[in-house]
Amino acid sequence: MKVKVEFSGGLELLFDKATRLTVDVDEKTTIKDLIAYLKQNHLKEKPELFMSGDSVRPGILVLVNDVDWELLDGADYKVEPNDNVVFISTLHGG
Amino acid sequence: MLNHLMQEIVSPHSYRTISFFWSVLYIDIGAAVGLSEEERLERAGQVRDQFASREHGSQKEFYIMPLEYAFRNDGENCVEKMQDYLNSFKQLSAREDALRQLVQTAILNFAQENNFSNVITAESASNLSIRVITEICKGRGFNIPLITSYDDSSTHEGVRILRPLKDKLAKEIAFYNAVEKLKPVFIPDITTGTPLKSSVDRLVEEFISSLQANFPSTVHAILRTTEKLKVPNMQTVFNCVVCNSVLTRDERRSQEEAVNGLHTGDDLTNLQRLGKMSCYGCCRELDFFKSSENCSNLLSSKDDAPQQNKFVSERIAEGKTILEDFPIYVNDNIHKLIRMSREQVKESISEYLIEDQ
Repeated sequence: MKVKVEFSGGLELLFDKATRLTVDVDEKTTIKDLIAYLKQNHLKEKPELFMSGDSVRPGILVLVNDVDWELLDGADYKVEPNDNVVFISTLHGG
Repeated sequence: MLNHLMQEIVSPHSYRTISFFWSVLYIDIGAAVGLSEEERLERAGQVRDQFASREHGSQKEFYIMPLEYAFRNDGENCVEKMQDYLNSFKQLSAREDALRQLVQTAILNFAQENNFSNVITAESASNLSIRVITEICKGRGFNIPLITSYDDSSTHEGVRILRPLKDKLAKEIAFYNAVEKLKPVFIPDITTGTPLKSSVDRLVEEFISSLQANFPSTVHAILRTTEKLKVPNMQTVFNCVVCNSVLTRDERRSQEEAVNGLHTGDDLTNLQRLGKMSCYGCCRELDFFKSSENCSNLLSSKDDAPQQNKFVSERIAEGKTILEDFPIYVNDNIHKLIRMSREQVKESISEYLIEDQ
């Protein structure tokens, strides 16, 4: 299934300046899996600036269809077709 | 977010309209962070579009101030000069601090020269709490109440700094932008893409962000604590000549000694003397100016007499002073300080002076 992903606040620099991506993932993929998929397939440099453990680094917000992922199941939220997942860095200088 | 709120406040359609004239100042740090001319123009254009697109007929102007103007002097390439100055600090923390001082001074100088009474900045609670800890690490703890106040009534010669977003978390601001469909323009900084422990600021940011993720009251707890601190007395203020921060009594005493030790015709090439005229934080950073091995520890030197390091000697041989490497306002600050000190001395001995008939 296709899921839309967006990056802002400087995160796009880690993804070859791509601000939007459409990725094809399996059903029952969680956000945690999506983060691992992005690291594996799209992240170009410095994974430590995007990830901490198997989640995103503190200071990076995740919105799923304009809703804070903490109000959903966080990293365990299962993405659905055409979901829009936005990663926003609030860290200084990206 | 700040732009959006300001637009709402002055909009004739809003619930409550407040009338005032405001302008937007964009400090272009592109040359300091290695952006090309095209990239700088592109970003300035994006920022301008942000402000223009939401205009509700309010009266405002958009100014662009290239940061390198602080080094503008006849016949010199101010971009190169600024890059040389920043690169002279061999530690990223010191370089980052120097950049912040340049931006801060550029804003205040612009406001003073153009008769603005207030400067509104968009610092969030998250930024400020990080700043509090970094300034303590750098030795400028005395200035924390001024850095974190809503209304910096210390007045930088008639200009107040207001921080209306002071109690909003960076996360809240990001959500606001997302909900309102505002597209922030990303401006890279000097630490963009560098390792997490590359500078004091970056390390502290990582630390506070990690704490905040587990303990969501961290940021506000830091700021609430700083609110208990007493604001330095601004009536008898003497500032650091490099960063303009307020000096403690000891720092002021050291500054006074350095100024009183000056004699007519002295050049100001002595890096140690410049260190003594500065606050503790800047004095430490001057240790990293040009080369930490060339600059002996400024703080440990007992007097400002001619312990010229290799670099200074080279500069003198070239017929140049260290101050030529610094932004022009540092030179201005030193001359202002000397003038103020002389006036103070003159006042203290005024009753013994015989006036000309």
